[in-house]
Amino acid sequence: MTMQMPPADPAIIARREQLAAGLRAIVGQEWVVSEESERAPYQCDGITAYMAMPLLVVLPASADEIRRVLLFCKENGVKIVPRGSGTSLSGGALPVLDGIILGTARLCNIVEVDPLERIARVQPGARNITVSEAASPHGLCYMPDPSSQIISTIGGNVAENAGGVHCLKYGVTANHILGLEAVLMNGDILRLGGDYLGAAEGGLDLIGVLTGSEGLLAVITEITVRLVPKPEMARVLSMSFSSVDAACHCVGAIIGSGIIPAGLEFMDRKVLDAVAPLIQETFDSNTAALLICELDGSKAEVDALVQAVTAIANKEGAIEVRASNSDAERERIWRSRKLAFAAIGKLCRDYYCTDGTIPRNRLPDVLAKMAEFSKKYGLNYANCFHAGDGNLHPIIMYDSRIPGDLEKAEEFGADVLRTCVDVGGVLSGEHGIGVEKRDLMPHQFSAIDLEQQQTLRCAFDPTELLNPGKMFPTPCRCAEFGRMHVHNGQLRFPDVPRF
Amino acid sequence: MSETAQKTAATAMRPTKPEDVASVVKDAILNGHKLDIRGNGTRTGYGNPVKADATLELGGLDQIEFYEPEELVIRLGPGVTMQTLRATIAARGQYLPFEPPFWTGLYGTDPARATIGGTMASALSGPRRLFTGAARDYILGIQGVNGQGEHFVAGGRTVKNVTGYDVSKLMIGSFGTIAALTSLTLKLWPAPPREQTLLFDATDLDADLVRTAEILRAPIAVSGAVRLETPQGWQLAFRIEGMQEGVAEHVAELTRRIDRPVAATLDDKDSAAFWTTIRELEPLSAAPDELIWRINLPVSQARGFIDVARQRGGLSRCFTDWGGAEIFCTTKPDTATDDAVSRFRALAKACGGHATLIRAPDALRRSQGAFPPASDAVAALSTRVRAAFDPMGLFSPGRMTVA
Amino acid sequence: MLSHIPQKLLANPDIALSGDIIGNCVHCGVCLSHCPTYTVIHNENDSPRGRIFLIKDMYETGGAPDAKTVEHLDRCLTCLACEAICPSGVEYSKLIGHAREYVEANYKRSPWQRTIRSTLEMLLPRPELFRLSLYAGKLGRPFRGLFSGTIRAMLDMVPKNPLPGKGKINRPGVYAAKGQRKKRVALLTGCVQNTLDPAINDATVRLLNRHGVDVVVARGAGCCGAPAEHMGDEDKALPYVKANINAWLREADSPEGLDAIVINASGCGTSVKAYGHALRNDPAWAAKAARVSALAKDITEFMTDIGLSKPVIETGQRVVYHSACSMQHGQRITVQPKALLKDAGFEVLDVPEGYLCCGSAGTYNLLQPEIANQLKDRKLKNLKSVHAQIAASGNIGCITQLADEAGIPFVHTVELLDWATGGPVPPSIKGNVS
Repeated sequence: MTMQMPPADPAIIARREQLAAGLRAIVGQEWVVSEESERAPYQCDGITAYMAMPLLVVLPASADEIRRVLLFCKENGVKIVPRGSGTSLSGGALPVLDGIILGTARLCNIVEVDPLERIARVQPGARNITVSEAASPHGLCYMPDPSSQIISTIGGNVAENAGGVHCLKYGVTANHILGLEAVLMNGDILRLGGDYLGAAEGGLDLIGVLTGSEGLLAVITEITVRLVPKPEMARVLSMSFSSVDAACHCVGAIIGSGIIPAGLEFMDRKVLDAVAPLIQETFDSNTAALLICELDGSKAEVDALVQAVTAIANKEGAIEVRASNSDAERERIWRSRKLAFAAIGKLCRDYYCTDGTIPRNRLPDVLAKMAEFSKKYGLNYANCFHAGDGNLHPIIMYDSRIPGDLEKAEEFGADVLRTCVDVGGVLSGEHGIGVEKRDLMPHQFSAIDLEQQQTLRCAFDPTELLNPGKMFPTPCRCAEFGRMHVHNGQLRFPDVPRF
Repeated sequence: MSETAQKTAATAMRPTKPEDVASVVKDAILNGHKLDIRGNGTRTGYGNPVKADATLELGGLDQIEFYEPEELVIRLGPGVTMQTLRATIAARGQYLPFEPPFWTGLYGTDPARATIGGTMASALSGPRRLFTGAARDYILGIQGVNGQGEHFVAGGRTVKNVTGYDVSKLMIGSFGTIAALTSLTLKLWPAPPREQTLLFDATDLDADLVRTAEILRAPIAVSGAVRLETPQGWQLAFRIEGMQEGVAEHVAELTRRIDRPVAATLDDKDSAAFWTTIRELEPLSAAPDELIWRINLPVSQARGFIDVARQRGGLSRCFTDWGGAEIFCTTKPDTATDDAVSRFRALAKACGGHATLIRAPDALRRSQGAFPPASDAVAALSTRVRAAFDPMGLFSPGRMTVA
Repeated sequence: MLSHIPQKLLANPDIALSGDIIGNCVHCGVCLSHCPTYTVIHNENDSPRGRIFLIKDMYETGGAPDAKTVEHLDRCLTCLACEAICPSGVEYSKLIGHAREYVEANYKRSPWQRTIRSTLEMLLPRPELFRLSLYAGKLGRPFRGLFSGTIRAMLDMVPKNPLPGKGKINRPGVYAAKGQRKKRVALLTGCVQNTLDPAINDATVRLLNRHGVDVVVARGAGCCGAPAEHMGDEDKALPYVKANINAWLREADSPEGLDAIVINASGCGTSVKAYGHALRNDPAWAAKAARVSALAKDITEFMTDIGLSKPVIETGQRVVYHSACSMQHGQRITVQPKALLKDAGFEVLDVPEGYLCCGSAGTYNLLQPEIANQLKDRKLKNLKSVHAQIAASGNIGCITQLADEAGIPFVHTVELLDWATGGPVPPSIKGNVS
């Protein structure tokens, strides 16, 4: 599959060795990867369907090196694709042929953990889980826990505004960032917020804009995150239902009752069948869907919540409700969810997972639509997702060896995402737009909405060299924006060329 | 200008429909008019005075478009008053966790007219911000009109959404300098059924803040942590909220962990009333001619700052919020000078923090700015960001920046 | 991940299997988190996910791999932390094993590299020669500053303390159970271990005998074959493998039979447990090899099965347990050693970042001394951070790599189990721990 990207400049590609020499002068000989065989592993991120050979891979070791690399690239008109651990599920770190990969892997230190302020200051390449590990001796943790947390970096989490199982109750990455240091293409170093709770008060919320900006605005060089106390204890309920609808209604009923679980996950029958052999468990043959509900807090609180949710589930027609009575049992229940994607991976040659979010009460409608699409494309699918926040992750199964199968899977996914938007939802809940959902943006946003976002990008990076070809289906035309004049209140609907 | 945009004064426009907002802006473009954008204007004392040719009041956009309690979401016009909003969602057991203050008492305006639009544009968050996040954390989507008279949409209505830049957050705390909001979509939360506040006698400030930090690191649902002067002397107050079972346990855990006896306990209504006074900065008992400040700084620096501000900054009364990371204080009337204000700001900066003038005479806010000055890089970027939405600089010029 | 390996290469069943394994990789990146070389180098080419890409390209291109590809494949420690954590079940061990064979068959190494590799292949499996070379090394150790790279690493491997005498358990025979015989096992005495630290085998035999187990050192059994295999030289490894299979099956088929083949070096254990896979395509050997692999048990697995007797001395020392990669990742034995140490009355502590290799990894510390030293330093820092009194591990390679600089006695798990249940104080602990 070749994703349409901005045209590569052959003159830049021809200068590879010369550019490598210039970059080596900044980061050191061994930290510019130029051999073709060694660039190959950087051809894709978490989506292997899209690949492109980067011009060079540059691995700087400091914010200053990053700044000098950006200035060098600006001077030479070289595009830059920032990359953390390369786990994006939307092609956010997909290289461009005439651009470098700017990897943050060497900037992986936890600079400080301050228990008094309850913050951690970390470098962008620090892995998510290492922050909680460093905070743990103080009884604290970093709450956002994308399922990639063992390897995905905080820098990448900020760029994608990563979510995770616990964001239903505790919020997404954006809710946990107190300070950012970032470098703009013009070499300016931004220091936003800082190392304490109210550091970002006053001024525009530029941290809010940078969080989730998918590497198109600036390169983040340091992050201060908020740490919170580790929950005292948690219990998990496993609730089976004889219909998908009943399970969906139960989700609404739990949250409508005023209970916000720490996590609320949905798995359909296909997922359960796939997982069953891996966890040596059988599921009741009448079970069509399973909800996993984590409740945390103090002991009496959690016990009361378990009772309340059990009562709701029973009222909503659950066939079986099981509650964990130990951490080992809790782990066992979670295991089925954690193994879901790997288990599906064993059922098919390849799968494609997308990421739309919808109002919870539209879950039954959208799940019914998926069944229709499955027939339309002749592809099997399974559902395993964050039900509590309506964040769907349909797993569409295909075989990359069959010509046209991937394209069908992509169309299937696009149909699902369009449906999400049509019922009041959005294209992406946590994976980001990247290249994967880029061309669907006009389905959610009007030309003016998109142009407004693009002019915002120009305020940060008028060179458009940072992560080009991502998020927007058209170039930003920052140069024109810079010359823009009053149109006497006339609406502007320019015909913009598509990639 | 559009006929439907109701003229409330010679230069004040008060549209009642989103499309009329666009018409007002287009008219302003044609006439080269600068617009002072506000809700009902109850908090214009917060931020810098604006020099504009006309006022665009969004208070007329006062409709709730939808409220879906089971989805924890509401979409409403910026002109819906805080009282209406709070009553509407309270009827379904929900609330705005970031506890936005009104501050109308500080500005001598009518609390009944304070709007959600103004609250969000001013990024007003109260004591619970410590626990549940700030105003910015509860915005899901916005609609507005940019400086070219175009209606645009950003964000959505779902809690998880990473589709495009988070322009919605950019609006929070932008004081009308980016766009004229026509709609806000907010995330709501179930209101905790019970709350209890425990007061303890204070000791040394540093020791109290270290102890507070220990409490805040424990798995106790502390949703308010202030240190203030009461008729009983300096006291520490902690609020615990949640369901019945949880509150009892957390209170027990708090009293176990703190090193002193409980001086007083406030239940539910009394507790709520106590935190309303905190939220509205009543412990400052600010005299009309005193300046009111908010200082955000590292907890570790709070003691040092208060000491030096008393000695050299003209500080008269203060209390600490957010476990010590936020100080509210008044300074004496004679500090209402350019010199005194910049000196005071320098003291905050020396402590690693920054100081915002919450209330000061217009002239002083005009010359010194209500907000702490940004670095050159951040100031330049902020200017470009505003220009990306409002290239002609029509919206609330000078509200956040000093010329 | 989709691969396009040419049909010609797919005729090789190992490469065909590799293609299937590559197909299971979804490029999620989880393996990077536990990869020691990625942790210290930060280049994706030195990670499992990167190496899978390199291997895929190597087969897709065919012919001789380029020097960079070989360099990155050589740097892999084969610790298998990646395989243990992979959510998709990618069998990296097979992938890297086959790739190494491909490299050895298709890539011409420099003469210097070839000399070093063949020297190691010759020395390590031969205890007597290895002993001799250690004596030579003893003379050379003071001059090790003159050397760098592999030679220096080999000299560093020579223990600072006087070389131990020959162990008791170095000749074939049967060491009889004390009291009533409950089980009969064969013991792999190991090649390196028997030379570097014969006390381990002595302790193992005492422990087993005390628990009513007959221990057979089978005639004809020797090195497990791992040293050659680590270097991709399967042909050189196979004679060792086959000799062992013959020796053990002779015992197993004797009237007294065998309940298990007990191995007390987890590196060797991983290798023996993989005999079945290594010979799966050889009709004459496949069944026999599978039988041996099924009988193979780490000493801690075996002791867990028969149960440890009550400690007879006052224990309670703080023991930090270092889990060898071949133990935790290769054999997925994670709970038994710690549980046994707790049963023996010790307070057991984990090493932070315990999943990371210590850099020893068979012959790795000799072939890649620079990376091995970085990993060693990191492991030592983590090990020291828990302030234990004794360090224990189930693999001679790790013990050799870490013991000199651990700052506390570093023993084999069985030495502690033997001591607690009635054996002598382990030599390195004597006088060092209260």
